[in-house]
Amino acid sequence: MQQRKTILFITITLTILVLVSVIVYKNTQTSFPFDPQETCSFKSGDKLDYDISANMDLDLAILSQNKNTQTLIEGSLHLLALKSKNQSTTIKAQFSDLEYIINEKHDRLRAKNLSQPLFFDITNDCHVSHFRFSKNITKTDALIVKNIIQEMQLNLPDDQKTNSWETRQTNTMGTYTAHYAIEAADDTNVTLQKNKQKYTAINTQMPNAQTTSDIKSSHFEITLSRQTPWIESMIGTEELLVQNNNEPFMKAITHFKITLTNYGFQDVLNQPLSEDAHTTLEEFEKQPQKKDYQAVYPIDNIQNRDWDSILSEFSASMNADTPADKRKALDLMVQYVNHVKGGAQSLIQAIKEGSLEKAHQSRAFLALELAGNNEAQTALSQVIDNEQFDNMNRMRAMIALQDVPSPKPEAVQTLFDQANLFGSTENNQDIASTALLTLGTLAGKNKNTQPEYLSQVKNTVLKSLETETNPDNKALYLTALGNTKDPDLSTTVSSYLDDASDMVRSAAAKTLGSMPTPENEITLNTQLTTETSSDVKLWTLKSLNKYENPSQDTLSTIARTVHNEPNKILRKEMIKILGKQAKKNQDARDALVDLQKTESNNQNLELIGSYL
Amino acid sequence: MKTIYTYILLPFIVFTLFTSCATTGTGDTLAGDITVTGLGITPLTLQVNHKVTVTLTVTSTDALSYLDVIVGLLEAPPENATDEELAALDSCGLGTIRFNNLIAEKATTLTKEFIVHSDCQDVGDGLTFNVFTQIDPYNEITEAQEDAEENNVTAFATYFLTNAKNQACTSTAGETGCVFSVTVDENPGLDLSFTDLIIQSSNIVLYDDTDHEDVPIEEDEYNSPHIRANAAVKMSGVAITGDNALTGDTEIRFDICPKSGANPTCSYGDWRPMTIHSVKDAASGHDRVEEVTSMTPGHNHYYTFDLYMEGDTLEAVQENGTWDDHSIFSLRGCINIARDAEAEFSLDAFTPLTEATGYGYGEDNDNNCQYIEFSVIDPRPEGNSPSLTYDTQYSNTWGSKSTMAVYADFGTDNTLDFTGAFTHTWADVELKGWIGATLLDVYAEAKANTSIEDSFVSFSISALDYTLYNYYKEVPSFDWEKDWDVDKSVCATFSYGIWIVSVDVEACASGTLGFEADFAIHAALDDDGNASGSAGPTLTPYLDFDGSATASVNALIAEAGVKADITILDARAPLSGTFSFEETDSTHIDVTGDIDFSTEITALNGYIEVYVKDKHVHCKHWYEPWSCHTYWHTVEEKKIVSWHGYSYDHTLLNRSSTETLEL
Repeated sequence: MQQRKTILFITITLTILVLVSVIVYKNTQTSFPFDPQETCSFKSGDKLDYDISANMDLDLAILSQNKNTQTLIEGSLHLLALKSKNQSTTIKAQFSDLEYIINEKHDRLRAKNLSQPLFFDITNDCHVSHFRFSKNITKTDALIVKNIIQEMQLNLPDDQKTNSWETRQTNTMGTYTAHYAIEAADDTNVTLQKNKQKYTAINTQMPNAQTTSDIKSSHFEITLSRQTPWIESMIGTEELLVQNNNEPFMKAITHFKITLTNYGFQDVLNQPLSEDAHTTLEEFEKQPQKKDYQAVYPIDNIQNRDWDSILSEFSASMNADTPADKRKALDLMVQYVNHVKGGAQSLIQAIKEGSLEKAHQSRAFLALELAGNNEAQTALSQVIDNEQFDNMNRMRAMIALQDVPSPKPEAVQTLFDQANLFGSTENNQDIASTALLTLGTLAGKNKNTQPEYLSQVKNTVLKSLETETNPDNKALYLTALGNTKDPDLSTTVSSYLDDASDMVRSAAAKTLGSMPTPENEITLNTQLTTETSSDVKLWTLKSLNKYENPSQDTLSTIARTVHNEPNKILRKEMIKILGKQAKKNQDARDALVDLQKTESNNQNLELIGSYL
Repeated sequence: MKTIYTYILLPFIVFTLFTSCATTGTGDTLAGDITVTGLGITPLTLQVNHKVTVTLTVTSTDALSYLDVIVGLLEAPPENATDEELAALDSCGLGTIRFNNLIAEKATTLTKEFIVHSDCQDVGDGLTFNVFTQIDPYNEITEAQEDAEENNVTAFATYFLTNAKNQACTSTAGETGCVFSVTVDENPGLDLSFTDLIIQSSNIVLYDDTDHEDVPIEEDEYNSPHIRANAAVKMSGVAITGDNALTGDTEIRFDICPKSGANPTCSYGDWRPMTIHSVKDAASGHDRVEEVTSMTPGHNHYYTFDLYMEGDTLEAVQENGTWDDHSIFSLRGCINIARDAEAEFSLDAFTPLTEATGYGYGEDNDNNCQYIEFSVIDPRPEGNSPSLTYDTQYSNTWGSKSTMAVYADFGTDNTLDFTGAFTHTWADVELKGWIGATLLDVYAEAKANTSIEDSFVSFSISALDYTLYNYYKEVPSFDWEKDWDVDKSVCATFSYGIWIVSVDVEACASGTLGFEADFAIHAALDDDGNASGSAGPTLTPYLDFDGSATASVNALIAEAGVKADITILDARAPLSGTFSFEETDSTHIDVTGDIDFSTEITALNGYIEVYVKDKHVHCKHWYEPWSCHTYWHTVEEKKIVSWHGYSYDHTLLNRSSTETLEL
């Protein structure tokens, strides 16, 4: 009987709860007000190289929450739409339903609506709108929200509408997926985490596109051909507005690709890129986007272990000699140095005593570099300063120190101490010269965050260079300046192109190549026409080869002289410079085609063939 | 998939199918008044793990922003079946078609490809199916309808035709009722295609005889005219064995044939084979086919080959050969299956090459092959100059720039002439693609001048665009010895779309770079003022870098991981030589050169695999949230790229000679 009562009580309670929930749910449905449209602030004369484009940004926040059942979220949508000036037809655009997806019964994604579709006309060349909405969702749903997906669709004028799949694909102008996750830390504290936003915009080019392939191909190429300022203005999300000019553009493309993949547009990704797009991608790919090394060895497995077992595991993994084992060894040591007090000291002590195999010592210095914390920097400084370590390990310590994030002044001072010994005694030559080179690198890499290092290095090296008479030492000072990659040094370095020593002139030409400014290109081009030494010409050409887009003057000089150059190594460097431009510069291509007829060196012929 | 359809959706469909038919029986559709008015399915004989194309037309009485329609196969019911028999019918899902922006009263047609899952084979062994469609119960339509969970199921079978459920539908063949007789066959096996072929130079250079003298006769074959090719081979489908691995029944081959204005395409039987030096075992010599021993379907797998013209093929292009008058050729790369292994493959999707009499295979009837043009070039003879040179170079690119590629260039160039002895050696290794970096740049030169002045040694080693070690010495005589190595690492991130999230993969290249050097430079004048000297370079630049990766996903709903095991490059290029000179008078100089230069390379071997885990919430009692716990479940695992590996261990130059040069 008692059991029946309990069941009845639960049933009634549940029923009431459900009814109340439904009533509350219905009453909290909110329509979202339209904000007035804004005028876009484009510069007059800006050329739109697409027909229609759009960008969306979604912000979402929890405004309040009911302890038991309801969570009120509010969001806003921002739209920036553009169309070309020759598009006379009014375009109707539509936001489809904003929906969130929950994972139902762990096996099925289920979509629920947050808002109704929005329709609006784009009659101007540029259109900006903002919308706000709010909605209560249930606590149960909030716990397992997967994604909030916003799709924006474009309604073409009626005369361009068909019911074909192709047209519908085209109509989907932009797809925006924001990943949110709502997770309950405890019953009363629900947090909303906004994760990385996804952005993409797919352009339409309906009038000229006849087939699915055309349409998809044109989407991709047009998107890629956008100019960076436009991308910045269109993206509008903080994470994409970074300093690097290329990065927002390329990130947009990356996310574009991902979205295409997720939405079944894989075919688009197989379309060949336009030449410009390909070049842009290639240029981007050449830029190392160095990221901090992420060691993934579990910390729990480190903190309570003794050093001998760590060292033993490190050695065993290194000796296993597979890529995975070597990565594991590196991760282990990085985590140990980062998370165990005294870890860095244990490591350098093992190196000094020889308990760490000689063959693995180089990897240990990489671990200290990647850990990069204060303790690691102190340890590296101690190695640099201590003659009980062999010269190779002292050089390894310097080369590690040049790449640690935020090098400490005390650590940098140890490099200066060693660099100041340069030229004083023969025994210290390796150490001192490496200290100079690493100081140049360190100063250049940290010039934005720690500019004092750069000015200190420049002062020290320039002062020494000024008074130096030995050509070997002059060449090394110039190389150290090259490591700073500071174009402000160009004038000083250029003056050494007149030095009597071939070696010094070669070093000056090489250094200018590490500061690839237009002015330095002119200097190098002039040097190429006046220089008599093959060695210096070779370094001049190697430096010119660092320019991704050499000037027409440079190309003309090389195209004019390559046929008469008797030295095949110099011809090889010339072929490389011409070859990189062969697809977009007719002079460069013609010069290679002509050279192909007269070239006698097999390897140069193969090289020419790789560019034509 | 089986879980979804078998345990949740399938009973649900079957249940709603019969309850809705039983209660309505009017031929009208339910929620949203949506009617399926057209249906097509191609082919009617389906194969597990292969594609099926469904064309579906729907008409809605109201405008809808979107509509999801589930399409699946339903076992054809027997005539006059009982309710119990009907309830026991097998079914399997193909997938969902989403209609966007449905306009009221306007028919909308979409076509979509699906993969036939193995569920369909499991449940329907030997059965004949019809198609069913169901309006996804989770469509928004209206909340009231959603709560009611009314479902619009249409089965296109004779039995249901009497209930008029599908009378409004016209098949693509024009028949009313859209009744199909669909059979599901076993997975026929792998479908192969040769997706990409890139050659590193469009020129194949015919070497002259003097080049052959540089290399001992047993090594001579490596100086045959060659071309380096990168190939991407992609498979789709699943092996019958289910382990997705090939075991040697598949081969890759390359052939060439001449092209001309009158013969723009090569005819059957024109093709002649190129020999392949490629992977793992250089000592085994050259083969005409590369056996494919391991391949995972659905992702790009990169190979790099050195292709050589030898035997009949070389004779044909040489002077007085049958192809002597041709300069433009077509290179064909094909993936093919051994005749006795055809049963492992889907012959509908993959047509083996036709075996021709004479040379190799004939016509390509499928996507088995890729074609690319190249030129055969006979180099101009070098002009006479009073010098002796010893030069060679090895450069190659492995992989693909769209993922990861390694470029390596090792070479040496040494000259003896009236200015003295000059030696110049370089090693350049670059990473391209996801990680872009110059891993190694070694440059060494030394000169012993007859003028004594300006004799020098210059050496530098750079990594990641910074000079790490530099040595300059401008002296007439000097010995310099050094062993030097450091470890470095470079990482970069890229995003990869998998499941419904974007995974950030951080790829790192870590390893050792260094050199062993012993340089000796000597230059002096004797009492008569004649110069003598030597440059003796012993130099081995080396690099041993591996790839690794970590992954993360910026969403609390999923976590990502990556498995990676990549040898990026393990290479050494040892050089030892002595180049000496002795002036006998102002117009004669005796020169002696002795050089040995080789490369030992293992390049780009391994893979990257990404997996995503989904966060699940499990509650013992749904109304007691504190008893809930979460756990992770792998929802997708995908090998995103792999490289086949390449090794080359070979003497490039071994020569000893003495001459007297005359000015």
